[in-house]
Amino acid sequence: MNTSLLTTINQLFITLDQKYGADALGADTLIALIETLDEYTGDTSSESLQQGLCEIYTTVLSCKPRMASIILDLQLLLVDTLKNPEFTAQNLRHRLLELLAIKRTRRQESVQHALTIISGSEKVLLHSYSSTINTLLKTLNKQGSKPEILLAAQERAKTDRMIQLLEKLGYAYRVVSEYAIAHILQDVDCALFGGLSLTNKMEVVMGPGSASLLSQLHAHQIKSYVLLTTNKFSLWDDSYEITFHEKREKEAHGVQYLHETFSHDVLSLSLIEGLITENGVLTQEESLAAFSALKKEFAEREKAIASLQMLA
Amino acid sequence: MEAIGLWYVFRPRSLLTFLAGVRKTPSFSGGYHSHSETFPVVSFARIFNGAFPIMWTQIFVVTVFISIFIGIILDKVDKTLLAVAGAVILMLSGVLDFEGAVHAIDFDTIGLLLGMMVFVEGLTEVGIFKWISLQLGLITKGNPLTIFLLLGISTAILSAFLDNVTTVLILAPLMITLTQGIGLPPKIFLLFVIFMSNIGGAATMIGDPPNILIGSQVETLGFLDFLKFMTVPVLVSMGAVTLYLLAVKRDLVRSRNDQLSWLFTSSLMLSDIRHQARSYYLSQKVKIKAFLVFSFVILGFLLHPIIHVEAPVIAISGAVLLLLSFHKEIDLHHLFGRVEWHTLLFFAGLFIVVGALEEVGVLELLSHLLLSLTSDTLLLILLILWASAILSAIVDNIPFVAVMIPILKDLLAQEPFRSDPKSHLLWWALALGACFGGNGSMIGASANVVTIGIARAKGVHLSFIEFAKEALPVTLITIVISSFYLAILYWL
Repeated sequence: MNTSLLTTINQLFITLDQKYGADALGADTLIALIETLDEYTGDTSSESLQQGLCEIYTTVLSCKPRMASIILDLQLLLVDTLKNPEFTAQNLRHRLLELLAIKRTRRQESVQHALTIISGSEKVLLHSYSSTINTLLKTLNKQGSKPEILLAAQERAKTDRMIQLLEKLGYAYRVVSEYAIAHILQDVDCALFGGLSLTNKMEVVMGPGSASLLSQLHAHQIKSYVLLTTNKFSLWDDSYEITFHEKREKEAHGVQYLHETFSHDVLSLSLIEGLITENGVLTQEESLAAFSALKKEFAEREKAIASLQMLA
Repeated sequence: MEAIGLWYVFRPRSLLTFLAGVRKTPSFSGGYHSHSETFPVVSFARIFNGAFPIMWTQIFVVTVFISIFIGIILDKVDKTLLAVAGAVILMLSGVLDFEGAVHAIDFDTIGLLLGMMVFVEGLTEVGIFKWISLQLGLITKGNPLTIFLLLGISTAILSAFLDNVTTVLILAPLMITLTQGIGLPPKIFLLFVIFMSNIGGAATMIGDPPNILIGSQVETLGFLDFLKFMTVPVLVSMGAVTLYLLAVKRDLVRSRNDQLSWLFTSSLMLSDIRHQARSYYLSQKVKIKAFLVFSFVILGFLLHPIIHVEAPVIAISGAVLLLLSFHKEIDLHHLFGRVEWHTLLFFAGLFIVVGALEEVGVLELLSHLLLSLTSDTLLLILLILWASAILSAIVDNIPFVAVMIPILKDLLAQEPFRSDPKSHLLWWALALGACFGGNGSMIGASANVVTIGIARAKGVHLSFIEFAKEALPVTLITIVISSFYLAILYWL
């Protein structure tokens, strides 16, 4: 794949993640792959399709930051093509639909675990906009047990979308700037965040602004949880740069300066009470164990498809 | 012969004889009437104790006009300020008094512009254009050829009914999102949007400011006349420019559906648009209401020969109807804040300066000059077409058209053009030249400047040379087509 497409895909990943959250990005990628197969008019032989998938996989691996769930899905897809060398585009399409269904089930399961966590809480602090948080709010609404939402306002578009949803579902809510959250900490019963990934250093990758919020919550001993299904774990070894760092030229009172922005915050897992996954709420130790087991499987798949990458 | 003609017009005696004759001043309704009142130049002369010959007054007014023109080209001071300053200087110097200045303003044009501005801003506030742009994005399916054709043709169609700047504001950002989203360089796609906006805008009386000026100030021309005479050259030019660009840039717009990685990228890009479309809810009721009001305005323009309601009245009625229909959805203060008052002021200032040029007889001199150059109607038609195109590419076409209208009116009142049934083609030569000429350079039309600005904000830099390289052949194609079209109409 050429560098122009790599840059484009990378930018699209970042945009979709920042605008709609990591879960939506994962689902969008699978849907995009299904559409790709539907529209494809080229060579549909197994070798050609496999080569095309390898190319996409290699590109996704080169993206910064790496999107764990997308890498995992593509890896599973490629391993399937190895197991069944006579596969067709239809088989791939079917498998992609399965992966999409698995993703949805995982999200539903993690939402169920989140429900048990916040049951009894009167005031819940939310920060990130993510499709899992959306599902959680909708499920709570259906159950008729709506806590008051304290919304830590972040980027305007995301906050607007959250307000739109809260209004639509009839939640009672307050909106406070994320940097002024110290003023309402006494009101918070528990806090929920959406997460992008968990690294091999047991650090959680989250939306920008999460680190300072979580530090304050931790200092005030308020229980904070991060919704993160295990398919989003970054199971690779290397110390890959996880955040996207940008420097933009800006101007203030006629003075030019460089404004640095970061796509995500990275913070220690020890700052949070637990990870809400499809397998339940994991403590730091449990997260490490789950991570190690999954990492082993990941490494095996990586080994299996290494030969394919060479071919590609 | 031409040299002799030129000398004849400008020789001092001719000027004196000419200036001693009857003068014309613009009437409130945009028409012109002769009068024999005290010539306002007298007050200018009075300042200088009567020692100021009329020719110096003419030179003074022409200097003010040329200064405005140069100021617009240099782009150091806002063009509205320049036009208004020019008008103020002319009033302070006594060339025009305040009443004369007010009379010089063509309120038909101002009314039509204001009505359409409020109308379009209203539709924008309701969200109809955002909805259209999202739907267009989804329809393209990320295919480069579909993006190119669909957005290009949509630009031309929208430009015919909305002003070109509004059209590019709606479609240029979408074009950048779509092309960048599939990893293609957006430059040629953006240029196509610009070309189509200037070509499409020529189709109707309300599509482009030169047409608004011509349609409002020439009493014999209406909305239907524009459709009748401009549709063919516009459609042929659209087709020719599209085919030319498709041929030259075929590698960029070719389908890539045989490449998995490329298809994956375009599908991913569509996800974003799909999310936006899903969260951007516009009820069926709003869409139907907006469509009905829009149809009402277009129908009003079309039925002008039957209902005899003036174009500005239709535009303002449409705007009021829209505001009443959506009074709950539209924030009036916000809407009126977005109306381009500075453009209206620019027009007003320009009308005053052009009024002064006419008052002191400069425009009549110019029409005589044109007449001395040729009395062949076809030659004059082609001369006007090419001169308008070249000048519109170099400078703002609005002042040029504003000046040309009274000159052509004067010319058409004289023989041999008065008795030539084909001389009305001069108006279409002016309209085609001014609108299509806008494609000639980066500063040729407001839509060009706005699109370049949008592109720059999104990290796409188009240089003057890059623009000219693509734009000159396109402009040439459209002007050659217009030349043939006008010649055929003349001979038929």
